[in-house]
Amino acid sequence: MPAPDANLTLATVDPEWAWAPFEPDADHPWTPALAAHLLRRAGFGATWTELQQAVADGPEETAGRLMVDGYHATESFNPQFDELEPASPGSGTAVSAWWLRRMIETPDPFGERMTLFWHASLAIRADRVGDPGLLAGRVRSLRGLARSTFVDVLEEQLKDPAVLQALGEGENRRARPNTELARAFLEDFALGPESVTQDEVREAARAMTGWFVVRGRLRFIEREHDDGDKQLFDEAGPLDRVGVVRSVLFHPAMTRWLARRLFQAFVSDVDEPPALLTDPLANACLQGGATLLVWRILQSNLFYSPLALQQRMKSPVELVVGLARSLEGILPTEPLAQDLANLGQDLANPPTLRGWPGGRAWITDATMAARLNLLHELLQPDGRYKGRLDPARTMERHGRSPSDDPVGFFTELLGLPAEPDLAGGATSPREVVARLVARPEFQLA
Amino acid sequence: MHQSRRHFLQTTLGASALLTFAPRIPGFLARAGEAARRRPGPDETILVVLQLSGGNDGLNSVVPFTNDAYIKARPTLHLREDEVLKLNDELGFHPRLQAFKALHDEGLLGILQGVGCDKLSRDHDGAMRTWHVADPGETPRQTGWIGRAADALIARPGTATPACFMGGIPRPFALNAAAAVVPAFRGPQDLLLRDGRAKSVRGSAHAEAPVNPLLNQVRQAAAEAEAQSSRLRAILEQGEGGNGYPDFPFAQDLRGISQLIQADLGTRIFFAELGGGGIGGFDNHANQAGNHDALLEQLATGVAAFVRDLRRHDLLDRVVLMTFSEFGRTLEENGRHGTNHGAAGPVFLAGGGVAAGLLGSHPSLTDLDQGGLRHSVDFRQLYSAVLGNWLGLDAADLLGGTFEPASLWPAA
Repeated sequence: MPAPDANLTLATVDPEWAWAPFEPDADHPWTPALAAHLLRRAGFGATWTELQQAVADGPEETAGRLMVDGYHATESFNPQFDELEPASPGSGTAVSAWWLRRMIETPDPFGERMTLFWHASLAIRADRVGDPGLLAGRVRSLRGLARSTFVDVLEEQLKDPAVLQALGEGENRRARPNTELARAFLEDFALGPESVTQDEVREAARAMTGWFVVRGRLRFIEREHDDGDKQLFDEAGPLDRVGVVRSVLFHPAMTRWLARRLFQAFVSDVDEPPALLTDPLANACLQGGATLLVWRILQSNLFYSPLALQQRMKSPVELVVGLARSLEGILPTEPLAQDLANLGQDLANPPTLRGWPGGRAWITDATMAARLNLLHELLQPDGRYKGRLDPARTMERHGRSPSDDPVGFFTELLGLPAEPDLAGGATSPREVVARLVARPEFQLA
Repeated sequence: MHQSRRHFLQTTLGASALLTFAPRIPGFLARAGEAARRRPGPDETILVVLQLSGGNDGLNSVVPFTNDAYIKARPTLHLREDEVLKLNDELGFHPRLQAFKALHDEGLLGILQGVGCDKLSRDHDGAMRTWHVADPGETPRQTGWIGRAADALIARPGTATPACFMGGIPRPFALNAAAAVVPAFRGPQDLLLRDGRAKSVRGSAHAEAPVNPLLNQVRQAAAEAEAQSSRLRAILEQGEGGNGYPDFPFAQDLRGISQLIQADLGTRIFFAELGGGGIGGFDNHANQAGNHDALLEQLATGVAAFVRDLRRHDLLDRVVLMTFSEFGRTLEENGRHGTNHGAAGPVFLAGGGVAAGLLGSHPSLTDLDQGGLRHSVDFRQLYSAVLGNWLGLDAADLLGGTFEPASLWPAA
């Protein structure tokens, strides 16, 4: 691999080099920092065991374990976790709390990471769905689709009562086609607004008439379906719901839209990514095999280059879930859901259909203060979070005495760059972690 | 830089981050030498929006006490001439709005009458959504009017928080933004950095990191947060006596907002709320009198304490406060000593040199809209005035259409 130029930017990097597989060598060794980067991006954050395993195994094996083995690990986890799940959560906050607990405890962090990616890309608000149980069902459905192709995910959106309820009062009548659902589907979910005209929105709305949500379930009422001819992109004829999905299937904008969003979620959200970089990704993947795209991203030179390292802002959820996973503590997630909402990430209520703005928008003076205070609170020995994060126990669990270089241990565990005087003279594990997470680098994913 | 030199600088100056990432000079220092009363600069104006949840009964707030239609329609709920606090020969404040009357008499309170819009829903959620979204287009917009203003404000340089919510209910939809993150706070203490934070934030600023715009932004925001926190701590310590604010949560939220304004956060829009949080609020379908009276008193005493506090700090000229409620009530009381969902209602205004006294005309009590009052001012005219004339934003862009701004300021 050619030595990356120090002045390299996303706009000037050679796309061929960027997407070529990263092969560690003497000049670019596989380090604990790179392993932590992979585990953080693909699954919130690593435990000590996962990190050591990744350091020993290298990038490809580690990505494989995250993306494939994690899925199988949920087979034994699910029944056990499902027993704790309320059958029908009573509020949006309860749904958030339930999901946060799952993100922290799951043996499949990549699955939850992708569930969150879909939720933030096809973003439905609990307060518009009305019934929090429907939103919980939607999260389960997205989790089931975590490793599916974009087309399958899109198709499922039109069958999800939560989506219809949130976008059209659960009624789609022949005489009054629901353009809100059609617009959301084409512009926000599938293709991006630049690729869609108002005519297409109207035609798609006609094709999707006849579907209603009755007592939380979808029902097709045939006399309310407009079975006349429609024209939608390259498709023509008496299109129905399936026809709408078919019409976006071969639309070139679909994989471009997906590639851009995956780039921002996994590589960098500093700026809009240049098409020069995302187009090759999009072209490599007809029909939007999202998992395959993520696999290519996680294997690439670009992913392990300075153009990706620390080039994403952690969302509030990533900030906290990552810390909790690394320290292996189980947090009370009801207060957490509220605190994260106050920081701007109300998990059950993404602001728009395209999710949270992300990137630089996360950090302002006041959200920075509130983030630092939340991290501080999480590491208190008592209080709102009941001292559930206990760094001394984390060390002991891995056979380390709490006095055995806690600064070195947690710097490596949290994937922070090593610097002199990193922990400001702190010595107890709790104090060391409190100092480390207050460092600006900890805000970056 | 050499390690020992860096160490020297850090120990002697104590703030290497502040050298590299110097916070803005606090506005109150920059303004110290200037005349106390002057027109605020275009980036110094602040808007405070107070939501009265449940649908406030405007007719028993600003009372047409001589009007026969009012007296006849409200056999048990009407307020008599000898009870109201007279504004003129026809209109008077509810007796529990004494603090408003005092503000009014000092020229510090304006009342914009008959604010509403065509086809305003009579359903709480629907009407509230109309006020929150404020878009005349047919496409349901995904953002609220404050959220869109926040989106416009973060396009400017710096790391200031454009808008925030302070209150005991989930963040209202009005603050929903597409590009900005609009936080919610329980109180100003959420912005006080705990001891020990600052040192470690500073400690890493001497790393000669490669140019990383995100890291620079985090450092800039952390340096600002630290500076704001120390200003805020000093303000909170001064204010321990209470500064004349009553104890209830709404007044404490206003007190917190005043403290944040004094700490000069650079935040341009604050949003607070009265009546939500599961107590039914202003929605008084039965036995209205007791509950409504208490809420009005909370409103007036809270706002009055806020206005006087800001004036004492020479900040009242920089701040416009406005109230709103999703709808007014019906003229007629129902059979249960309450009133039902109506239409237009009054908006209370203070600060920023807004005109005092009654603005516009009182809605007719004979020409009704399904039992409610007809509006003479569209609520988007009010928004247009505060967004455009006051905050200096492109109101037509934010509201998706041009609305003649309501006349809130005395003619020059």
